[in-house]
This record gives sequence, C-alpha cells and structure tokens, in this order.
Amino acid sequence: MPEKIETTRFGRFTVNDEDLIQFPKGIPGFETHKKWALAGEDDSPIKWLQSLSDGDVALPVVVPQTVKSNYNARLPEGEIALLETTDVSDLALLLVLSIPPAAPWDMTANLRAPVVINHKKRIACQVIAQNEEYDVRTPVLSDTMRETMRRKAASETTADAAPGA
Amino acid sequence: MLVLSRKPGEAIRIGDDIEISVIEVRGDTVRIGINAPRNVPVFRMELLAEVAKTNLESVKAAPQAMDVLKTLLRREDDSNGGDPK
Repeated sequence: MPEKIETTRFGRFTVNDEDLIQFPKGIPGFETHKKWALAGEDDSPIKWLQSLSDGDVALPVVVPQTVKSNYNARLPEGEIALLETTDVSDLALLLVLSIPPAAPWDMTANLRAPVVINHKKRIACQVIAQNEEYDVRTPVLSDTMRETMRRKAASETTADAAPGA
Repeated sequence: MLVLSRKPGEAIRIGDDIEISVIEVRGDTVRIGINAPRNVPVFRMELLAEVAKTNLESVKAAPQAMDVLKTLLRREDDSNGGDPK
C-alpha cells in the first residue's frame, strides 16, 4: 500500500513500500517522524530526505564524498545494532546539509552525524560518529568560492534594484 | 540524581564495564577519562542538542536556494573558461 502525502517541495508525493525508509528512533529534532523517503532530481548531487509525517519537513542530503573525499566516520557499534546488519556493505551514508536561504553558498554539512541507511532492509538512523575532528557545521564550498559567489550575488542584487544607475 | 565527590585519580564504576575517572581538575575544567565497551556510545551532552538544532535549520532550506547555487556555479565555470576549479 503506497503512502501518499502532500509536500511543500514535491507536491503530491507517493512512496511505494520498497522506497520507504524506516527511522525507528526518528531523527534528532524530529523524533516522532519514523517514515521517510529519498526524493530529488537525478542530475542534482543534493537529494532530499522527505518526512512522511509532515509534508513541510525535508532535509537536503548528499553522499559524503561530495563534501569530503576521504570521509571516514567511525560509527559506534551500539548505534548500528538498530540497523539489523553486521555487513558494512549493506550500509550507505548521507550527510545532512544546512543551506541558509539568503546565502546558499554558506551551506554546511554535518560531518559528525551522518545518516546511516541499511539499504537492503531500508532501516536508518542518524548516528553521532566518534570522530572528534568532524564538525556538525563544516562549510561545503571553499572560502574563495563562497567569497566569489557572495560578491556576484551582491552585484546582481544592486543591478536589479537600480537598473541603469 | 546520585551525586558523588571524587578527587583527581579517583574513579566511579557504572555497571560491570563502565569506568569513569577524574584525570585532572584545572580552574573550571574537569578532565574525565572514560572506559566503556565499544558498543556504548559516549559523547558530549550538548552534541545531540546541536545535531537536532542543525536538523531544524536544515528543513528551512528551499529548492530555490539550490537553483541559485546552480546558476552561480555555472557562471563560475563560464568565467573560468569551463574549468570548475
């Protein structure tokens, strides 16, 4: 029986059972949201983890290698036990992005707490990795890139506000 | 809540296999050593709250922001003669 929900970002959203991802503990901040699904365009590296409890709630996510090529989270076994597998090849990781609406170039990724998915059984949880060196807000773009985009966006705003000035 | 006083070098045992020792006290900072089995998650209390906070921030992201990023990135490529670096 497919789940249907009206969403802010994707309109009417239908999820088949095999695409449903169960989060038995929810996600920190959304503990009561137990069912989620991945959505997004194929050509975009950024996907969305859409809550099926609330159509307004979707988290932008990326595969870790997009942000950090040598990403290597150490995940506590006790947390992973919930995912019902001992085989790491069953697990896929995603990082949650924070994208400030007014300054998307300042987006950050949560390297410290990846979303870990058992893609065979479609069970997932967000786990705090033991890597003290990973920050919950790690800038995704380089300083140079951010500065360039900030300047470009600012100059476009000025041009729009005062045409011909 | 159980409250115990300990001195540096002293320890507390929780259950069969968790040991917490006070390593050093300096000013208002206490350094604590923790011995626990690998399957017991140990992290600073404020970290979980911080993860929840970033998730709550994350849901504010709009697909439009993504379009802005894409456009700016594309122009970035163009102005560099197609080299994304």
